[in-house]
Amino acid sequence: MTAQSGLAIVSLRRAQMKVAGRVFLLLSALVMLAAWPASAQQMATIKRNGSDSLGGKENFRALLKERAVQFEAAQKRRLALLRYLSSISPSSADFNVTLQSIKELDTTISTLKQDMERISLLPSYSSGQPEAVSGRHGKDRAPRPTARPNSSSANSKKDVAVKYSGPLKGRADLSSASSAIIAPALACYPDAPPVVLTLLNDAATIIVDRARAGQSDPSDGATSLLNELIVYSLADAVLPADSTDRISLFNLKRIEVRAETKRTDKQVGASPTAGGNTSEVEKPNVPATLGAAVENGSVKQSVSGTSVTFSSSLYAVAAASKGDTATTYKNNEPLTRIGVSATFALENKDDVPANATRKQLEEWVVRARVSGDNSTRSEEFEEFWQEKIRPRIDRIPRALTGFLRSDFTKVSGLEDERRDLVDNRILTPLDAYLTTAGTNPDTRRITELIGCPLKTEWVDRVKSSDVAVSDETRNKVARAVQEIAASELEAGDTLKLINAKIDELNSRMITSLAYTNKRVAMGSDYSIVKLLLEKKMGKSSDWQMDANAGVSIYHKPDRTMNQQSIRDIIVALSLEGNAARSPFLTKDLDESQITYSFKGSYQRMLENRHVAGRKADIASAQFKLEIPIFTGVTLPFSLTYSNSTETSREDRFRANFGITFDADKLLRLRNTDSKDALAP
Amino acid sequence: MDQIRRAIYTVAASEKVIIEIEATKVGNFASFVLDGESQKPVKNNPLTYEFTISVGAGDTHFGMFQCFFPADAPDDANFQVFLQGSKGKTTKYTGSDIKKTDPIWRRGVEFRR
Repeated sequence: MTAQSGLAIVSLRRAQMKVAGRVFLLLSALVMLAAWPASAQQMATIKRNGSDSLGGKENFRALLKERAVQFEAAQKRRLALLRYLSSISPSSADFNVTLQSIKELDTTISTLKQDMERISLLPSYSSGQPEAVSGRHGKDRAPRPTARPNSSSANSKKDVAVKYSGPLKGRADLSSASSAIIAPALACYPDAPPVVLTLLNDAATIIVDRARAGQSDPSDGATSLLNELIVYSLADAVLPADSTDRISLFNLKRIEVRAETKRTDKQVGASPTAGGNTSEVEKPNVPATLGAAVENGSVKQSVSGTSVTFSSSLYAVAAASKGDTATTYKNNEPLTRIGVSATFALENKDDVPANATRKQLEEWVVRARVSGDNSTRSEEFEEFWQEKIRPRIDRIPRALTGFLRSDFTKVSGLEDERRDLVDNRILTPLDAYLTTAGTNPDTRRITELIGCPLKTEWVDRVKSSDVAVSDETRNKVARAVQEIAASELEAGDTLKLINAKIDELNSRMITSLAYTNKRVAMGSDYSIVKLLLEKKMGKSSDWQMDANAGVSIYHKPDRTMNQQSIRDIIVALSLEGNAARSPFLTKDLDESQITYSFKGSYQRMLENRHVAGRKADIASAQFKLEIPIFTGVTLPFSLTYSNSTETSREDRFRANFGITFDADKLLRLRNTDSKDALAP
Repeated sequence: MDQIRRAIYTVAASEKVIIEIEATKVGNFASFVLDGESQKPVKNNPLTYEFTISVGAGDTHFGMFQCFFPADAPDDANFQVFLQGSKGKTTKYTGSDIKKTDPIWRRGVEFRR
């Protein structure tokens, strides 16, 4: 939901153009000077928030390395304190003091982590994959891998081990910004490895989600993660204290590779010629999904000023009946190339679909993509994923299932113990609880129902040798932990591969042909045939160029109005990009960008030739700047010049400015702040 | 094959198990690992895997599904697992589902003899 409040719309004549132009240039210069070395602003933030013993050093790699060393030291200290805590009684004087120290260390670790992420986002730090940049057109920033200290002796030669901790910055995904690296502690398992706590939390989250959705067997969230929990907790029980294997276990973060690039080249709103539309250059791609109606999302609805556009694609018809599955997509790929839309005058704002009447029809459009499918659902991306990515992300499942199969056997006795633990100690009580809790189970209670038996009936029994674990099994679980740790280290590189492929797909030219049938209330209806091109450019697709070229043809030219068959020829070009993170933002997690665009068009209107008071050659140019001034609040500013309009030869210079509020973004950041405050 | 739970099944000796992973609103970015080995799909649309039970009585085959959602997949994108055995009950069972909004995109499954 976005509310716009225009403070002023000013139309200026030639005589006032100079003044407006000077004011605009001055404002732009001030903004650019303030914004451009965004790195200076970000470094100031780092110096404010983190201890900076390097003083004025500009070597970001050295700074990152220093933070990484501090990070590793803090984690080791935390591990040592956790071990000490597990060895003393909760009633002892040291217990609360130690607990407090651990909490303080958690804060320090979190701050250091944020510092490292900020450093890795600075323009002069080039070790990470270049990102697709966020902006008003929704091109999204792929999060950089963040640095973490190498804790394994096997990888001691690496300067900085890279880990991926989930999307934290930029774009619309601010709701997942607090990545829950440290899940809530469990009183019955106070010294649990962080990966165990995270997995317990994951299981509980999934169970609650499925229970609320009314799914049968919501406990699947636990059942399907229990074996992984059993392996990690077995490692906790058997790995020697102070061993590098144990340090590796306590550094595991349950990492998954999650890519973060979105495509933004679809135009859902009306074409540039529809009344009320603000975009001057059409975008070539077509929306791929359709459903039965606007309400179920199958037909997309876009309201712009005084018109509403409904759009869809031929693929949507197939997907509506067969389901939008990968199989349907593969079998109907050609249909994804054809998009249709219709724009209606918006007279009834209370019931938008009711405006879809013949009388209110302004135009309908058929768009056909000529270039290939460059989405992640394309055959090309799937083949890439199968060949290059799947072997990498399969490492953790291979390590876990291989160990389980080899050591949890009837012969070793561990398989019987495991089945008893899973079926009788964990799932039976969990089922009983979920039956009574209905659709509103408590996450905390669920983690206790899984985590407490895991501790008392498994970890403690293994430690006390009540469950016999051979030396061979102990060695194998250590190797499994190392394999998983190695896979986590690789996650950043895997993400780079994915993002590079997505960037490569996104950078390809998109070419489409569009046919528009224009209904004119007063005048002659006409058709427009256009070639649409889009190309993302720049190292991280931070520039985008859109170009259109087309010809309009009257259906029935009115000779009395000097109309011929060909109405006009039009070419349009736009360049859009992002400048930098707005320096006015105060929330560290908000990476909203200052964005700018240049748009120009030329139209040769044949019926205006030799007509007094009109021009046949119509040119216009627009410059637009959007500056986020607070989180969720943007200041758009635009200057438009046209030498004439279709009906008047008077040139026009217009300056628009206003304020835009994005309630969704404000809410997401408010929720993120709450999560951070609650994190232990 | 009998379904005890979505992620736990009892199987017979030499039984053939067929697993399908249906992707909705996302590409076929799912894989199946069994007992430490990545499995090759026998069919791609939908992703289909087959294997034969080879463990003895009292032992278990351990499997895991690992999924991936690119960011341009909508929030309601998901993978749904279906399983079917060749002996005993040959019902096509509904297994685990993995949604893009889940905190973890990995699920275990076990086949007990």
